[in-house]
Amino acid sequence: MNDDDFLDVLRAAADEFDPVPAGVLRDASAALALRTLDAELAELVESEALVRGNGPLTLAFESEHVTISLEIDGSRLRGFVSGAEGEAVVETPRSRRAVPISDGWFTAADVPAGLVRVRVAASDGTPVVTRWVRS
Amino acid sequence: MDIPALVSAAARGDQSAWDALVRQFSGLLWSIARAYRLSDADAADAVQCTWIKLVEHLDRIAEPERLAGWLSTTARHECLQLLRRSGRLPAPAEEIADSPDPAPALDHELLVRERNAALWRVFEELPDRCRRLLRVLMASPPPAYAEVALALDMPVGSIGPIRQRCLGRLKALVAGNQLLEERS
Repeated sequence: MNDDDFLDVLRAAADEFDPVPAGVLRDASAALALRTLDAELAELVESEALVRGNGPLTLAFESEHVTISLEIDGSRLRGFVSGAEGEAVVETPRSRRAVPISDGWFTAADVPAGLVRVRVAASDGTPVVTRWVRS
Repeated sequence: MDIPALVSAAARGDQSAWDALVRQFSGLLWSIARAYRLSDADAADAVQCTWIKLVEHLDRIAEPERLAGWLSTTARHECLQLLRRSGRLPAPAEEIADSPDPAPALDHELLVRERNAALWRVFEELPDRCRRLLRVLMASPPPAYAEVALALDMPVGSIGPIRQRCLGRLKALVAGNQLLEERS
């Protein structure tokens, strides 16, 4: 058996014993709905994991209208935003939750591990969303 | 498959174009996560994050014809980030020696379905670097070497020779495996 044929046998074994789970395909298909055509993107300008591997992660985002700083410590997310007020929407691929902004600060607890982003409305109404970051 | 056309259709919100991309490349992304030995949950996470990052970049993919390479690179970063977070970076790549004995020819009966299980167990015994490369090469549909190189951060030119040595090793393991041997 030559190498190409042998690799084909291995591919068949992989398809049988380690196939892409159906849930992974469903999540991938659903990801298109997470597009944010309407919003201005706040780019990550600074990222710092503090000390220990499990220590808080601090991140800074900037868009034309707002700046957002996030501190993610386990499932707790604390943020400071300038240029926006009202509420901040904390989004994960499977959830979104609005929390009030008070003097620029907002806090969300029980944020599931994985990707997270924050959406706010700038003072002039422009929707702004941060890039996805891993919590 | 016209990847650039699918990318631009998906960027316009065409779900069926997006689903075609998902069908085309999910096998590759899953194989990359498995090549880095991620668990079911972490592999699912890495693949989902890769797709979400593509969604975020859909209208800014500079060279849509290189989408597979972009996805491979992004998936590698996601995997390494997950491994770093759990404190298990992949083992440094060890040298792959040639297999000690010339591998006996495997006959086509190896294709018999029930032997795949034994073959899979033997595959899992391979040294990490071999296992990693072969796992990505096993993706369905088969990836191009350029994508494999990006997924594993290896020079493209090294893939062919390492593939040959690793398949040789696996054949030698198969030859020493009773279950696979006695029926062949």
